[in-house]
Amino acid sequence: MDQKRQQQIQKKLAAIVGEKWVLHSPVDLWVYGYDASLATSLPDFVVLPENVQQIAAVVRLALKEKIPYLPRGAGTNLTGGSIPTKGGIVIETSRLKSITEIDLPNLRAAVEVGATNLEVQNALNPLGYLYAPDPASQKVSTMGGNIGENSGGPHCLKYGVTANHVLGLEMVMPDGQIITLGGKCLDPLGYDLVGLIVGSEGTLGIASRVTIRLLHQPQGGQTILAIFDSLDDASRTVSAIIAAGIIPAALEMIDQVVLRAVEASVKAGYPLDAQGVLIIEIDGIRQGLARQAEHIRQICQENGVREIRIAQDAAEREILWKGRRGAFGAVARVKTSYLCADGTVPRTQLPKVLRQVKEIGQKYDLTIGNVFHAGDGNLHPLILFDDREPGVREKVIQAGAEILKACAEAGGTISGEHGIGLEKIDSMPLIFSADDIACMRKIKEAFDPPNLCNPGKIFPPIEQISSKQANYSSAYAQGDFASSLKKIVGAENCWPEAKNNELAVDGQVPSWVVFPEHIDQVQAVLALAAEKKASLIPMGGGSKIGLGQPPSSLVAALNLSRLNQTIDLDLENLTITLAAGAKLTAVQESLAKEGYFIPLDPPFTKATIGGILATNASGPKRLLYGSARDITLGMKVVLPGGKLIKAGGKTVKNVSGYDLTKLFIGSLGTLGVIGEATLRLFPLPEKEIILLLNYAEISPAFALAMEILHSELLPSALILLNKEAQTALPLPHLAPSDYGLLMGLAGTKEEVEGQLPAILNWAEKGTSKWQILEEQEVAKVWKAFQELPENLFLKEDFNISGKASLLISKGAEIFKKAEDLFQKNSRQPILIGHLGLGILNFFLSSPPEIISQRPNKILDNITALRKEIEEQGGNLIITACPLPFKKEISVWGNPGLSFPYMQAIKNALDPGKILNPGRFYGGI
Amino acid sequence: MITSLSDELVKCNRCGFCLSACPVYQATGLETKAPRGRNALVRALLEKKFSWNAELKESIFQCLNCRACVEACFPAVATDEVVVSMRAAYAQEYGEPWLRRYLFRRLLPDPKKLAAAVRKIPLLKSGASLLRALSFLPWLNRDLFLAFDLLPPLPTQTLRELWTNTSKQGGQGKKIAYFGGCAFNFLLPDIGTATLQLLSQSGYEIIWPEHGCCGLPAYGHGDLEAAQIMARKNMELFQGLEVEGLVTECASCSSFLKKYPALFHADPHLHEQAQNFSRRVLDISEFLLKQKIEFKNSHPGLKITFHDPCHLQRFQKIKDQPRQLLQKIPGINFVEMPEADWCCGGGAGLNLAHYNLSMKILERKMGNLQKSKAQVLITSCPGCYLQLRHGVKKKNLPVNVAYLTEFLYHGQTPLSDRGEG
Repeated sequence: MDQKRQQQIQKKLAAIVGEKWVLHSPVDLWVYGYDASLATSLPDFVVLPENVQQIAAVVRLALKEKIPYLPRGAGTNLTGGSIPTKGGIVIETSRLKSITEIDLPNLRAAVEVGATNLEVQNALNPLGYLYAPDPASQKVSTMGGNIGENSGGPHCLKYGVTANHVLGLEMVMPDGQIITLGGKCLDPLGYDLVGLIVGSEGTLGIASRVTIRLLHQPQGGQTILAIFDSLDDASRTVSAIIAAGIIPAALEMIDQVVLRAVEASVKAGYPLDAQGVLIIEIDGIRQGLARQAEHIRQICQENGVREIRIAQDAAEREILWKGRRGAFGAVARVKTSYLCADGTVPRTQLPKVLRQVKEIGQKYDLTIGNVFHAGDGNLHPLILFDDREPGVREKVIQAGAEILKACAEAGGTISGEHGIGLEKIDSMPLIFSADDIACMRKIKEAFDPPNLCNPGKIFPPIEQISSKQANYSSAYAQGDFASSLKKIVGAENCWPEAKNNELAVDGQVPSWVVFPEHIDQVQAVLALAAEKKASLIPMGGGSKIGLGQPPSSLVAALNLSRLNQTIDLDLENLTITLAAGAKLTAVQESLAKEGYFIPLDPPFTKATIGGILATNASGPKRLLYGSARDITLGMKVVLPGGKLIKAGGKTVKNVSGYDLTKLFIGSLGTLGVIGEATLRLFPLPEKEIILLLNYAEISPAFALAMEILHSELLPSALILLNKEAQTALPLPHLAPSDYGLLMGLAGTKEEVEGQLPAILNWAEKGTSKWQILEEQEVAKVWKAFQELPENLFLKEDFNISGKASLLISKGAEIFKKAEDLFQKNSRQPILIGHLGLGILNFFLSSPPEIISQRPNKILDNITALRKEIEEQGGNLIITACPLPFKKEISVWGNPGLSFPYMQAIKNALDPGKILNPGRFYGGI
Repeated sequence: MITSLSDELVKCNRCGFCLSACPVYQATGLETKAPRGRNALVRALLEKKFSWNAELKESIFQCLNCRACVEACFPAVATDEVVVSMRAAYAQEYGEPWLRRYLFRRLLPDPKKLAAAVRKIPLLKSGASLLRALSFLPWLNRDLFLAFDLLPPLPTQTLRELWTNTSKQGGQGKKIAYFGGCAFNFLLPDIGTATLQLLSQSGYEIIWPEHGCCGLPAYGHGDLEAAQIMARKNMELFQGLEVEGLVTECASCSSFLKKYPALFHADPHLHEQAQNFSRRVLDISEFLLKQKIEFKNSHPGLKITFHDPCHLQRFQKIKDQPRQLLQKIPGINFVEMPEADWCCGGGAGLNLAHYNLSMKILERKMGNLQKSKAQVLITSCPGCYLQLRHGVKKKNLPVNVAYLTEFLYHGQTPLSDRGEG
């Protein structure tokens, strides 16, 4: 940049943030040109804004002047993500560091991006709560940095990564707009922009504030140090522990190279002659810990452990962790620099890959130390070297690339936590095809057309890789739609209109229904449809086909029920890959025989995986297990135009490129057709009970639910049911009371039994009538939940249903409001309040004469309820209703300020609008 | 003492953990004021990517020398020594202001000249005047005027004068050498008196040769030669004494006296002499803990807390001893202050040279003090003592700041208000 322009820009920046906060001298710029990686590059300016308005103004200036910019937290990035490779403006966030709100009743907090992860923990700790992601850098890394990299940490094995705990973002988008995405309520409408942006490495905008989910601190915990004489033994132990059905809170491995360096820095007690140590931490219900610890001990012994030590108190625990956290810094005692190739592999591949890493070290004559999250297979091989040695850096980069290749070949990925940044760009083709990368680039372009927001990161230049996929489109340029369809799937798999009447979607009957039997047939169909501009509606079991606004056009339905295979079942690694048409109920049944399950329990017995994911459907035990976005590890999706792309992978830890699984989940099939998905598995809980309590009023039921939610207990479900709901399910035995509270407990025998006394103690204060259901009865109840909507709509004449996302603390208030509103104008409504989540399901049955009234009282009621919920930051979706209603009210609600960005994504992936047109949020 | 700057600097792999510990970084949010940044700049300077300029100077001189970074650093990069080396390098390149050179090379090493000089400053009632008198010194900042309240009024008698005039109790054959730091000799003789009384009470005859400054201020400013001069003088003075040890209540002095061997790493003879010397140095808390004295407490139940001076906790690893001593007071109600070992902002004369920055750092300490709800704040370094008193007064907190020895001796908070400028 020439001097004159430099001064001009400097002046303009000073006008925004104040002269004091614009850094431009060579000395100042120097220290913002590095991070914790090996890359360096000088920016042209560094600004330190103090609020989001200033950030936005800086971004707008950068846009106008066509200057690149990027966000920077504490600059502890390990792959060069914080390096301004194209110069430009570094937007440093250290002045935005307040914890603006801690909202315990709603289990949420709002934090500015410059606050460090540890500051957040320290604020929550004394209150008895925590924020689960705990990267080793937490002392210094900022929340903004954590968001950019989708940070994990030792405890993410059990609790999930940043993306599972971030619910809202206040952002400056690359067009300079300030918008709020998500918030305190679950399931914001439209595409999951929050899920997309977490892990996007600062390339899709700059966050200024984040809304996070809080968890209560666990009741108890134990930290174990297991000492091994062979790394092989240690890594086999890791697999064995998980395979045994134990999900430790943390499972870390440190090899000899690293533990010696650490021990020289802080006396953590790691024995210097051990080949490796495991730090194993279990937490949860205290009563359940002893048996778990004993089981772990057994497994260690079966795998040749030398010694097991248990931390006796908080101080001992802290020292063990201090050693682990300081590992990266400590290795500077061995050699002054390192390159960390943080690939991730399925656990069972650990012994093999660790051996390969060792061999690579020998091949290049480099010392490689390893300290990593063994429990989720996320390696951190630290290739140690002295940068002053001539020629060594090249060797190191080669070695790193070979390690990542080994990880990719073992079925893993090239970044578990540290992102792609700069360092791993060249390794992207190891796990992504040109089409995968092209898809991600399209999204980047949709958000940031001039490519000014942290340019030069993540994606290899498009020229470097070429698509290996067949180009389907050209094959169908000739010929008419119908005959081409028949050619693709075969005439018998292509049903004409006459046959399709039952498949009417909001009164429109598709001209064709096609039944592909193979994924490349799906690709061909989507290529054809794009070519002929024929609108498609993907479907599986059709259970939720009525969800959404009426289609603006409907030519064909793409029925995926013939793609129903189990593509890969890997019990040892706890993953299952299913074709989209597989029916969840059938899969669960066969998994149960092996003692496992997919932690998803949405309604509708004929629901397929594709449909469940596309609608982000969830069920009662979401409270304990999370939702689809929390358990989906990877997907293959067919895009309009026929390309098959891969999103995510097979490992829990994956920060390679954008997390497109978050985008496709809940997108109602408007961006692509899910072909297959890889999901997490868990072992079936040893024991499961349901506690049913009777109440005459809402408030004591709600009070008990909140008491439990804010305790150390771990209910699987906390559901409030009105009398009609109890009768409709039905709930067994106890005569339905005005209000029923249903509580689920699942886990080991000790965990379940350990929670019951406390619950009953509390319960006694509000009611004297309850019963405990076990075994078969429990299964019956959950089945009833699953079958409820079908039963209500087919057997009873319910015709309206909805799902509201609201503030947890307002659960009782909204339940009551819904009750009051709906009672007036329809038969007794059925209300099911998932109190622990802040979700309300309602079902209404309205006779024809009420439906045809105008103005319509039911619509008015729904609108009133929706308004109140929207004011809290939530939303209300009408999941089913008579067609006339859809003409007067959007089933989703009105689009918000983030809608244009969703439109941009839609335009990028489905420019021809062939998938489910007009049905989703905002009429996308 | 680091032998090779570049070898030391290359140990930093930019993990950034030091940012969480550095009070200056935390107060400013600027990477140039972070240890990682300083190391990177020094490295760039050595590689001739820059030459000295105002920003570089500011980065190097706005450092408390508190060593919190070294403590947080897993490879233990000796950033504090890097900073001191660079201050020395700066002085070599640009020379030292003549007055400072005079202060470090002529006045501070020479007890008689120093005493005379101090007496020559017109006997003034307020510390403000003292500061105003010093404000023409080129390396002190304009906003020195703001630091008026930091110094107490200049006492009319030095500690040595007070001590010379009191009768000395004969020890029961036990002798201890005393190092009377400049702060106690000239500014806080009442505290010094309390210390000496405690030493007497422990049954010792006190030997206090006429010595000059320990050398720390010169060292901290990068004048290594002056520090070496002072060190050699002190080693000489205390060499032959037949005493159990050399004790001082000034944490800064005790830490630096213990550091003498590092000053002479290049000269084996001096190095050995220094080791023999430093081996006998004791901070007052280490010493008193071994003695059998009874302390009295005239305000039992009062909430007491302790601020760990950097020179005590980090440089000498003395953290438990002062607390153990305080616990010996009957009826003591000791509470731990959060971040008790976090620098008060008074390190390396930052409060005189960069008042506003120093105050920002002090604010964090005051916040922690309030969180502890303590009524008495005790410390064991005169720099901290003055800084903390200043902070308490500025924020009008209902807290009394006391020095460890005066609190132990008097058994209560100090009676007299020392008066603030």
